[in-house]
Amino acid sequence: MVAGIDGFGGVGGPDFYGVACMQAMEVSQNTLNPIDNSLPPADEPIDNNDRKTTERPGGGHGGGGVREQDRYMPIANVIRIMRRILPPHAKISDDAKETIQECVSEYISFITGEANDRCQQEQRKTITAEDVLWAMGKLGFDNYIEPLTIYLNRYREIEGDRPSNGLRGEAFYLNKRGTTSNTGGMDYYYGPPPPPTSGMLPPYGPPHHQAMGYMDPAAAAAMGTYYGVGPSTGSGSSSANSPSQANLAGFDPFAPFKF
Amino acid sequence: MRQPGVYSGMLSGISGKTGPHSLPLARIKKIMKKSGDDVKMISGEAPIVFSKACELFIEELTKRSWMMTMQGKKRTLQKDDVASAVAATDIFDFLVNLVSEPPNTDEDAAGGTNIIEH
Repeated sequence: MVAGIDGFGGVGGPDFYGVACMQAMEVSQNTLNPIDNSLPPADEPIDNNDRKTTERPGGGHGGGGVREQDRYMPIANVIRIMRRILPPHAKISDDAKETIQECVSEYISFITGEANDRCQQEQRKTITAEDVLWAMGKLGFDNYIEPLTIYLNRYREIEGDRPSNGLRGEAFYLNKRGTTSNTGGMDYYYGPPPPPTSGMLPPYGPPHHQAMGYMDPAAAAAMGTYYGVGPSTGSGSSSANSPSQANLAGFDPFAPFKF
Repeated sequence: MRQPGVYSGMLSGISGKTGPHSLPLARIKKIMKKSGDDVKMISGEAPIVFSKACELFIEELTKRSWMMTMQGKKRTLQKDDVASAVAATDIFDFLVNLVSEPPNTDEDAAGGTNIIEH
């Protein structure tokens, strides 16, 4: 929960302060009903929702018996995941946030119920990761199995010393991994990182920078020509032209990047 | 300010079990146990799978809901959009009752920010 708040602070710091100021003004205008004023409007930036991790709207009528925080994922985490998909200008109403929050719990129960049925049929007492994956496949979430299997196996690799004792899903996993682990379909989810066999990771951070890393020499040459030669020939000066020709002969693909 | 590093999702995210951005495993386990009286024991790996699965699920549900928002030429994702997305997607059939039930009056009175009056 704290980590989630940290993440928001990093992303939306300025917004947060701006909104806080606005709210402070609002409260000072109408101090008779500060609770209502402290509630964010329906379309506030994500930062305002941090407080809801501890205080949901349902808390307004006192302790209702069932603790909300046990039944749902933290709303801040849910919103953060939603924001990953939505365009930056998108707004989310509060009831939509809560609905999706409820859907997540329903999803867990739905899958767990199916996995538990399987365990009972096979007279096992423990629901395993494979049971969960199997249930997802049975209930129509086939698309999730591959990224989740990769995720799980990477977890196991990092955990290391844990023996993989006759795992049910292992054969299936190896099959899938050999054929489709590098499909672009995984990009659809944004979530799953590349499989461990994909080799070296790019050391540069945001994905949109990767284009530079993947640029082939031909493209780099084209850029070198464009940036290096183009302006000098455009000037029409013959004296400037000859050095740039020589520059092109002794081609340096990284010339555009040296400043 | 604090930004996740390149490898934070790869390493600290799951080796520490609760990475800076993953869903809380203890919460997942509680919800799993509540899903049936006969749920006895849960492998430690099952909540880890769920933490990722829930991310995929939220992303997919959000994406489909947002498509409904766009179809209505709106810019705010509303509960109706979630309901429409659920109705239009087969694998979300199990959510139909949840999204279509009438709103709880208690919660609306306390948290329905659209009905604030001065």
